[in-house]
Amino acid sequence: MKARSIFRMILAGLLILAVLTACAPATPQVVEKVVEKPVVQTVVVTKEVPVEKKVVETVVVPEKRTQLSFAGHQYFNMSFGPAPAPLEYMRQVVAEKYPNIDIQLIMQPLDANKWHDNLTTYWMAKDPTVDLLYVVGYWITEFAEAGWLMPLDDKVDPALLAKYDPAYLDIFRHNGKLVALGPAWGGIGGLYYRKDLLEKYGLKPPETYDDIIAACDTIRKDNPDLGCWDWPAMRNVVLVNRWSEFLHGFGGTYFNKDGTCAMNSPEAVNALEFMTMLFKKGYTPQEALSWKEEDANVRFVSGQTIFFTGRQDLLFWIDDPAKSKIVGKWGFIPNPAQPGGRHAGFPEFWAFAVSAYSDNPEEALKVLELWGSLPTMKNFNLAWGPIQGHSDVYTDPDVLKANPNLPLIEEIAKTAIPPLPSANYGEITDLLQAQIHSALSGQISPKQALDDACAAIDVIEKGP
Amino acid sequence: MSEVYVEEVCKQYREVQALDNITCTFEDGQLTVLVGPSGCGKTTLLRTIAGLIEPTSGAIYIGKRRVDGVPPWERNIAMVFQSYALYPHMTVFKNIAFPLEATRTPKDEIKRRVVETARILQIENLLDRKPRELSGGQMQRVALGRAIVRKPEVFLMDEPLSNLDAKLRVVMRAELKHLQTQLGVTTIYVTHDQAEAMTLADKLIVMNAGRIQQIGRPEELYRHPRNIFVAGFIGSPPMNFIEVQYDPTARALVGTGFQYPLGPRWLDLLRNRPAGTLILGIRPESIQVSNTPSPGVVPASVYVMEQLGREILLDVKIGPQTLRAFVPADTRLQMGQDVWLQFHEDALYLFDPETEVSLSWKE
Amino acid sequence: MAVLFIIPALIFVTLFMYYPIVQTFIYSFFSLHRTADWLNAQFVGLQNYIAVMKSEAFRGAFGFTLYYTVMTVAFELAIGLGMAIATFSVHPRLRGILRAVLVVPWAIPPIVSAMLWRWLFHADAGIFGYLLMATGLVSRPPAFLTDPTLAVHSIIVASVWKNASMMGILLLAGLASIPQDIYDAAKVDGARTWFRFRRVTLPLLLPTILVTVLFRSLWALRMFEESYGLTGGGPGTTTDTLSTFAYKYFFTYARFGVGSAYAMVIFLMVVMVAIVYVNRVKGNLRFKE
Repeated sequence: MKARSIFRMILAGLLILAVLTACAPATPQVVEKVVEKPVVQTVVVTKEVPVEKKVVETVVVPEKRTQLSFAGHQYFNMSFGPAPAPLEYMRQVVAEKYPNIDIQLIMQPLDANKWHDNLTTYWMAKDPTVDLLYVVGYWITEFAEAGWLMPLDDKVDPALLAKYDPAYLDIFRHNGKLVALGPAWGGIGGLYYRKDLLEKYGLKPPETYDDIIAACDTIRKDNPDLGCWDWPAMRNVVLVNRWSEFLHGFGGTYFNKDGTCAMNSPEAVNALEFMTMLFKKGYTPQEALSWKEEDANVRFVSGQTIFFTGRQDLLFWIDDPAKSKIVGKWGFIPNPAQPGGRHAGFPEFWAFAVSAYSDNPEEALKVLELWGSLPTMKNFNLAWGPIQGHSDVYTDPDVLKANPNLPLIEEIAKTAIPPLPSANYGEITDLLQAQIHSALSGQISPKQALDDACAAIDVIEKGP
Repeated sequence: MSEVYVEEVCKQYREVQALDNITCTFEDGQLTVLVGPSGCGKTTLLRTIAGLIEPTSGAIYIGKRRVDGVPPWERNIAMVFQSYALYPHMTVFKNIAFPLEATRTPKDEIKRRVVETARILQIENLLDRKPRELSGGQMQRVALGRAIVRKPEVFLMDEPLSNLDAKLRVVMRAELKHLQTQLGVTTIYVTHDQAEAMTLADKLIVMNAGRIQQIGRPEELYRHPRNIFVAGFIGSPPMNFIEVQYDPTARALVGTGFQYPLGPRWLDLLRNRPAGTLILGIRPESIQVSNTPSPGVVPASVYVMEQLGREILLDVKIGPQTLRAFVPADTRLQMGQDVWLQFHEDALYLFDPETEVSLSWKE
Repeated sequence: MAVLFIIPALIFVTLFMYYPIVQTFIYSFFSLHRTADWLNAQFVGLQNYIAVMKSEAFRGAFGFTLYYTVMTVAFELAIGLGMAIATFSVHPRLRGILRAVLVVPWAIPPIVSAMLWRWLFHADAGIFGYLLMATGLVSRPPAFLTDPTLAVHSIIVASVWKNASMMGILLLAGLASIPQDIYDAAKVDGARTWFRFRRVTLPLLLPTILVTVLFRSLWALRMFEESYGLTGGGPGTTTDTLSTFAYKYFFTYARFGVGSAYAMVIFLMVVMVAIVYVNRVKGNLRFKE
């Protein structure tokens, strides 16, 4: 009988344990290494030896070390230019200045959606695993609103902040508070065109969307097999980025002043109708609806199309004859805008931030400052290419030598539009992806798509 | 009803010669048993006749039709398997009806014939059951029913009784024989059990190592085995074999501790034979045992006694060799006791030690 | 003492299977946004479930997933059965090699196979478009992944390619478990090839088929990678699948209440499918000893 009751107690205990364990959050599986925060101390042990001698043993415990974990993707281990891989360099500068701090990479998936979900999973459980992280501009509102990122304004050296382009820093502000420092690297959308073809037909680089259509009509009369305008329109995050450019190019905005959805304004409907027309009339091939960025890139550099909207990182290899058939035959300009609209490039600007749940906020801030200073930023430029927020990067002779296209990029970077400012960015853009893609594939009318989207977005934004 | 004729059939598997030039006839309406130890090729021969195995060379005829190369479903045969191979998802009725349905027999005729078959086999009350609800004996009957229902030219039976317990096996053996006689269908029956073979067979074919050893009626094989293999295989307990020396001058066979004088029949048979070793064979039931010596007897000593009830099976030693013999059940004997064995000359077999063929064998 | 040996399994099952189900069930009645603290959250009754039922996107995904499941499983079964029978009828030594060859598509990770098929369906580089052009049936490559009807069926084709072989392997095992004597008996009984297949092989294979179809159906109902990799759910929402909903609501939107309601609805559906199948399978397994 006694044995049975003991058994019952054990069983009950195990069940409680089981329940408690299950309450713990699911941790993303991509952790490179288990991050440990050792309790560090130096201990002198004095041992009493009862015989003749008294021996003093000094146990040398390794000096106090702090491990900081950094959430980044696999590109941090890669360099595409004349510089070490960023993570290697970032570790190096930390080791030089703060020899007691170790940097641990928590590997994140390349798919930004999954990366986002990993981070939010940590934070919703108030998990301190991540100290430092690499964040993209369009996550800022959501993360800052939830209080997951540490405000930086009065914590980072003002002299360093002053070096950063305020327009760029605005992307990392929420309600006026800076929550990330950067960009350390940024992508921005612009319009690539075939300079040789436009020149041949005496055409100027397009200013408006109508210019593009006109140019295509002229050039394709003689070259019916040539594509007009390619851009990646698969239903994913990038689609909303590209659409934002059209939206602003036609004079639309995301929200009205009162915070209600403005994405079904007449301008916005015009924009989406124009986009839909591109597919309907064959200016953009229907297959583009299943294209990721790399699919569209390949089409342009293999000379199959006249115009292409994409990020500036194509410049890195567009003149590499091994990969490109259009060496020297291209131009890169800001996206077009209709009268009343603005030339808009969607920024995918990535910056460094400190998690609000970090166990070592001071050390993390020190490292953040170090990574935000010129040497590291310069290394980013040389390893990955532009865009960096630190203005001294652009006067550095090494950088100028390595980036012959820098002026072009600076021109386009000026067209950066803010990402959709919502704490529900993920949910809203997901909705927009579906609605826009439905319209582009001709399943519903553009107006209908945007009206439905706005109705749903207003509900999401209003909250319960 | 047809005769089955197998002509010079060989079956080669990589290294193994499973059938080595087999030629034999299975007479119309008779039950022929293929018997031999396992691996002798009897089942291979049966399956070759069924068409489940294609021979490497040779010809097979069922009736006048040459069937090698013809698929089994066009041979109009029926086969009973050791495992019964009933279709587990069908009722007994459906199992028996299967061969008729496969050959597109009209529905009402199927019903009539299945019921009739079930009546013959006394399984009418089982028609709605599934095989898993049947006992071994019942499954056996269903398997038989499935074979006889289509009135095939030939029945092929592959150890059909060996999954039954000993008692039931004897009962079914008798029923099977009765059924076969009644139906009069040419039947080829494979077994490794010589007793079963003897009781069932109109004709026996003894096989070993892919070859036919002897063909004949059961009593022929028993009385006139062609060679040591057949002599040792047919009969239970098997024939005793003793190595002896033929001494022409003494006109006798000389063994350890005995000399057996030969009579005129044997001397005539051995006329041209030089002195040398021979194998003497004698069936246990042909040995007379007495506890007093007399002329021409072989001295031996009792080794083991097995009381069988009706008689005693005796193991006796002649020098290092052991012989088995029967004595009446009431005989008083003791272990180690000296006895004297008398072999009747007519019951004696002599075999050539090289060819193993019986010296009295005439083709 | 025997109870002690069950404890690890009991803990495992409770911890990893039943506890999350109960938790999800509880969550589904609360309004939970960016927090899983249901004790301090607002109880909303069936509101989350109503939201699920009202969602047009969910109904669309439901329709697609169901169609996808029926189509892929049907074709996979037919092709898998064909492969199994073809493999079974060759020499046993060759069978081993064939089996290894068969398993290759299944062994490829789903995302990799989706990438492979993206290329096959690619308008410029894809082999299908090229072949259709070469035959002169079409003047330009069809929009395999962007036309709503074509996209649905392209995903089905890719899935069938990937999973039919696994079906084949399982059915092959089923075929091999039928005693050879039964095939032989049917041959001798005068049954021709088709009759044997229809009346003996197929019924005896039925338990294997049902189990295989059950597992494959449950798997297909949870399909995600093929659609995600090939079309991203497009064009529009045509190829959105059921399983993406719970994921999105949980991880991207952080709406645990509604997400749990989605999860529960899908869970109940899968359970119902399983019950129907299992009952059917049970009836058919009875003749196996």
